[in-house]
Amino acid sequence: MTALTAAGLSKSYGARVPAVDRAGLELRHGRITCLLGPSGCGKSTLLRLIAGLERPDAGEVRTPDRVLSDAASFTPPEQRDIGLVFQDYALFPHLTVEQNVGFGLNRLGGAERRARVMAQLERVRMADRADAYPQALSGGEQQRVALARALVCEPGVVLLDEPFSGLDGRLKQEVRAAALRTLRESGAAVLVVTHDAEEAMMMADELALMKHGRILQTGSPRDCYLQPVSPEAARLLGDTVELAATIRDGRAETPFGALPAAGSGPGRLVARPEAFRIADSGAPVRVGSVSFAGPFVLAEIEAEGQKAVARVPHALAPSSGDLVHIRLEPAFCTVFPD
Amino acid sequence: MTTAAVPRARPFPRLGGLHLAAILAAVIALAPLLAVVATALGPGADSLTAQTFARYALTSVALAGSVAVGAGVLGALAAWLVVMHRFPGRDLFAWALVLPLAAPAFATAYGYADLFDVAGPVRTGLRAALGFDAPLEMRSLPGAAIVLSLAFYPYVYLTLRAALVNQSVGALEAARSLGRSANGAFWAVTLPMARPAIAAGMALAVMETLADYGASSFLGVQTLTTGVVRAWSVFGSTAEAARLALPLLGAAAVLLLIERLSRANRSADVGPSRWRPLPTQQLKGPGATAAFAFCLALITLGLLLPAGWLAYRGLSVQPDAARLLHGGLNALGLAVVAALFTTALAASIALGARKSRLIARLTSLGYATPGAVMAIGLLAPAGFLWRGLAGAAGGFGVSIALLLLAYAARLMAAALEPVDAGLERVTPSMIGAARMLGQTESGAAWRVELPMATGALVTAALLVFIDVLKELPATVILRPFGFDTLAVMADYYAKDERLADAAWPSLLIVLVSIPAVIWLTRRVGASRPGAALGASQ
Repeated sequence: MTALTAAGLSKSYGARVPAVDRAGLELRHGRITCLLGPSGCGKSTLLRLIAGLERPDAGEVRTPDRVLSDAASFTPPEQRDIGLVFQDYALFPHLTVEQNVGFGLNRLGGAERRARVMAQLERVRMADRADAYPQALSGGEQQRVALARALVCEPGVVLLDEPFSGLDGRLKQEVRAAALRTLRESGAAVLVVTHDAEEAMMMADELALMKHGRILQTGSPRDCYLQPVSPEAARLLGDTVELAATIRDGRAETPFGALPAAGSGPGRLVARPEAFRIADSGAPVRVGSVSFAGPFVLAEIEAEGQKAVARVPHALAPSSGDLVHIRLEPAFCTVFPD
Repeated sequence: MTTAAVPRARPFPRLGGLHLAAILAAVIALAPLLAVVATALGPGADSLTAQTFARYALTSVALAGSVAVGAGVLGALAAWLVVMHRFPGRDLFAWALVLPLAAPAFATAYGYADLFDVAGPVRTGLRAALGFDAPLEMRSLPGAAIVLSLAFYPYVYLTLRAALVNQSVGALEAARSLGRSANGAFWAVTLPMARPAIAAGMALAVMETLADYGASSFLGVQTLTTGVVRAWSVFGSTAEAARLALPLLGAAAVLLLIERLSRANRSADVGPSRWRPLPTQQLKGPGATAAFAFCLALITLGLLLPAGWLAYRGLSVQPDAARLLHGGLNALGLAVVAALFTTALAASIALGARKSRLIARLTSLGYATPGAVMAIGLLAPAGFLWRGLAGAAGGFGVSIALLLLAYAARLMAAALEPVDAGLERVTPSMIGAARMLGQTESGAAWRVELPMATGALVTAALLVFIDVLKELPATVILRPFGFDTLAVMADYYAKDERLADAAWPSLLIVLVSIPAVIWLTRRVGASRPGAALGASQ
């Protein structure tokens, strides 16, 4: 069920390129949407427009029952029933953990507020630190308190701005798993802004790819990864190899092999590095440098003047200078006519 | 991208309560200044000859110039010794050197004038020893320059000390690694970087000198400011007072510009080396003795000697306890109310005009403006109000209100500075978080911004409190009839040549101010970068 719709949102600062350019999103109850894009692409601005912390120049934000902002009206952020977790958590340093989490419940009586706060702190396993001040908490603990503070008011929509970027490595994974669990339990429509493609694909039910202020593609992580709508969208989700192709007779031909394709004339084949499989037969290619990359090996391959990087399992790793045969895995390739 | 969605023209920017309060505060700060200009340009009896005007102006310039040099040298030397060296007593001197700020300049002037009076102990003693009268008259321009230099050197000391404490250790170390000695690094790096701070401190000292009425008039130095008060009190001419005030307004603007420009150049060093302790030089033998003696002499001459002599003189008379109590309560009440009122206005500027630096700049013009000028600026609207509110009770209320407005106009900028600094701790996302959790803009201010700036608000209130306690000219001009404060009492006794009686209210001001000054200095010391951030860094 739709919880919030944003459509045609634009925002520019000064005369430069707009920060957000006619962007739209749909958030659904119980679903996690990840907004992915490089830094500076406008994703945080889009989030602030939805939250009401910025006024859009154009466009509309609405829930099924009411318009939150359009050309004629603007609901201030405090009346939107939206929770927001800030990148720097923005915990109030002069308040304890309990007071921070209870901040938004000031209309409730003392006992009821305390019960709600403690129940929420229980859920993020921070109840034992209720009397601590934020400065005394670790980064992961601060993150959990910030999440509890946003969820305790039971908002219909929760927005998270790069919520895990301040954490490192192992801690990040743990905090993320716990946060994901808590968010799903809450039943809210969730929007997570991130620049980490892997994180986005792991977390998201729904993915929105953003660049230069525009939404390039929305869909499930799988669809976005395997069926990018443009080379640009493909690049946002991971490494790509882009090859010049000639489309004729329903096939796109490249020096590394051919794939079914519509249309005719010149085009471009965008492939993931795992699309290049070393096989007994197929297109002959020359191996350039080979580098170790942990779980697999990256091999530079070259054919007819075009270069690609293949992601190869260790067992099949070629040596530099070898002549090998390559077959293209169609699932990891997309053809775009020029 | 311009074709699809043409952005609608933005509706009027919303004026929240905070913005309105900020605008009101700015009006309070600026109205007296505009009124001075209007009054000066308007009609009015003019007994002021160009000659007198020029004499006042030249005296002001000479006095301000000498105090700039005197306070500059004393304050800079003290800051350099205390920050860059280790010697016995240094930690004590670090804050004690600020103490002369607790004494109103007129009290220092009383002490010195009496000590060096023809019949005073110093000259009597010298006459007995030398057989002739040493030319040590404090009731003169050089005397006033000495007295005010001793009273105002802490401004230079404080600004330079802050600059030296915050200087980049990295730059110093780079100079050393490039072959400079410790002394060479000082001349090549530290001093050039500290120059703006010295200029800012000197500008503050000059502002205070131009604002001074009590000390200058007691020492018989006729400056523009004493002229303003005289024109009003003796000749009853607001227009003439306003004309004398005009050059003071101009000077205030220039000094303010110097002070702001100097501070704009503050180094923006954020490297990790910043938090390392400064390399200090251990002084030994004669060097240590000289440093110790210099600092001790500065505190002695700036506070202990004049205050001590006043105390000694004061003990020779039976104080009028009832009047003292009355004046003391008046002064305390006024100072407390003014502190709260001014801090509230400063807070509303800080919160409501966060993005508009213009308002903050305009209010700081008030800070550079002498209190006497503020008072004259408020007299014109005062006439209006008095006519409107006939009756003694109304008159009393109007007078007190005008006095509070004058203090606020003059001290708002001083209060704004710590409040602004305190609010810097509040990040935009904290305000955003408060909004997302159901607070309106002013709700966020009440529940997040102001509580986080509590310490800064107390600092601001204390600054105003001390200054109001010591304030004389505006109080003299605007106070209700028969409403005496400690400063007014001291001035009244001193003009009557009843110095022993003047000593009591003067010393009461010093006694009340000293703890406040110490508290403020401690806070400034603790605001060294990194010190207050604690474990989170």
